[in-house]
Amino acid sequence: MAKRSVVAARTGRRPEDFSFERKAFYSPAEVARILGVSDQTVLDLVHEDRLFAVQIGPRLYRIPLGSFMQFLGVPPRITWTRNPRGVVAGRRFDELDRRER
Amino acid sequence: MPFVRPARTFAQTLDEIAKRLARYGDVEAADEGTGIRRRDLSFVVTAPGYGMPVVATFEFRERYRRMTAGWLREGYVFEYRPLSPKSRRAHHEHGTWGIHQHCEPPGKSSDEHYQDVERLLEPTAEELGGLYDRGEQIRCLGLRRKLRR
Repeated sequence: MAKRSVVAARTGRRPEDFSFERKAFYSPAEVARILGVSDQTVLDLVHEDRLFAVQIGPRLYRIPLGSFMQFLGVPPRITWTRNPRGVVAGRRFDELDRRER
Repeated sequence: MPFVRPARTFAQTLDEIAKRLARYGDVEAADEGTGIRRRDLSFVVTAPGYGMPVVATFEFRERYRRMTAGWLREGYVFEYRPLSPKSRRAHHEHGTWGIHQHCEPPGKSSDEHYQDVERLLEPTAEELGGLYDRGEQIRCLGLRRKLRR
């Protein structure tokens, strides 16, 4: 049987471009249904490291929402603060030191 | 053991870490103090992100000091907090307590410090991410109390 290939969508897509139900995790079968491919194709993507999934049992995988979105071409949701002279991120250390002194 | 990140690849490593963490949810990352001797990094992840109700948060912070060989790590705060049921698993190195961990199982709030070994960000992120992925409840068995150094 010819193997069906799945090509990840080009980057720059928005989450609103996809109308499937949002969940924290998906099973390979759920992803297969959304993509319209077989379960085996999704497992192949996982084994080829093209789709990140967490193995939670010998034959049990879970695919986090963020990982699936990235596979679909939605850029990762990362907000960067780069401040060469700042110390805001470090305040947490100072807070902990003060509290636990 | 001193942990040094090479200065040349530091920024690229941070981008890779942020991308990896973004698999779990929305990431707020900060890289501050590169122009002074002390550099503070932070990655705060709200899972699962994408506008869904928050079920857990992750916090990864590191503090570095500039050296000729690169950036020497002086402390860290790695935390995983599931919100339902509310609990906490944390690995820290800071202040007078040095390396230690915290553990709060569901329904029990505690500020107890427990002994720990030194942790690195990437493997700890995998470990704590694994707890989230598997939906495991936080258990605090076998931990030993730490005395202040």
